[in-house]
Amino acid sequence: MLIRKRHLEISNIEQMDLTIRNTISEITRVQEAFSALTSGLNTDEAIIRKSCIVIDEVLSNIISHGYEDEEVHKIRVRAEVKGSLLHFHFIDDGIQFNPLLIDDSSSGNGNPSHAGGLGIRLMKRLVDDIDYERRDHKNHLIIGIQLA
Amino acid sequence: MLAAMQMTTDVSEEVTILSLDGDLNATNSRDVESYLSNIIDEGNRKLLINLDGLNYISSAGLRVMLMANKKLKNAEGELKLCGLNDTVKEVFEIAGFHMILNIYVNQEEALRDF
Repeated sequence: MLIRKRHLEISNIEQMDLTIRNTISEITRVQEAFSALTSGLNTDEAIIRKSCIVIDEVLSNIISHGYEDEEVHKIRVRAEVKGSLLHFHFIDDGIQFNPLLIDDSSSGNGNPSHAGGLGIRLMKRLVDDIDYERRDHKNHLIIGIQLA
Repeated sequence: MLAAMQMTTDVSEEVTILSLDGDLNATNSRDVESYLSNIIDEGNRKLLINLDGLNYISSAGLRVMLMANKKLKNAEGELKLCGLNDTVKEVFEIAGFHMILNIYVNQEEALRDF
């Protein structure tokens, strides 16, 4: 089944709104769009790198663990610069998953057997603000990263 | 900043040096894992992974490092890493990997310690 993709829309240089399919290769599209968003903002390289990790962790988690069927699903990613805050909003129709409720304390000890929660741990430690809401059968993950 | 992963190998005496350039993430981690596995399966037991050209690493990439470390340990080999930028270093520290992997500032320092 083909899902009509909503392509990148940049209404101005400081925001992006992109919908992708639930396949790992689609993450690159988001990172390319994010790269375009930040290219004109004189953003610190370290902030861009952290943001790319967060995009990778959030989307790979949704794509790998969020769906109990084999259907094609849509994931919406919005990013916007609001003042000194880089603001992400991930929306997916996967199973309910609130990363704030995940105890990732054991995945930071380097023990290979505790590597399962690493992505969540990284994502939570690299951002400055995180919020979650389940609304209309969808997960809404809202993340803020300070630009300076 | 977006960069495809490039992998190059070099040999210094008994040490195989794998240099990673680009981003190590969920999209390419399987390719890197397969490449690394082949290097170890070919009998290379002293492996240095130079991350000097790596922009960032996500948890998918960290798992590749774990796999290489485990595989080499089982074969009585040795893995060392070098050239981590501040972001990669921070990721290793959050994950606790700086406690289980041998990490060096640069290639020369790592090679001296094999």
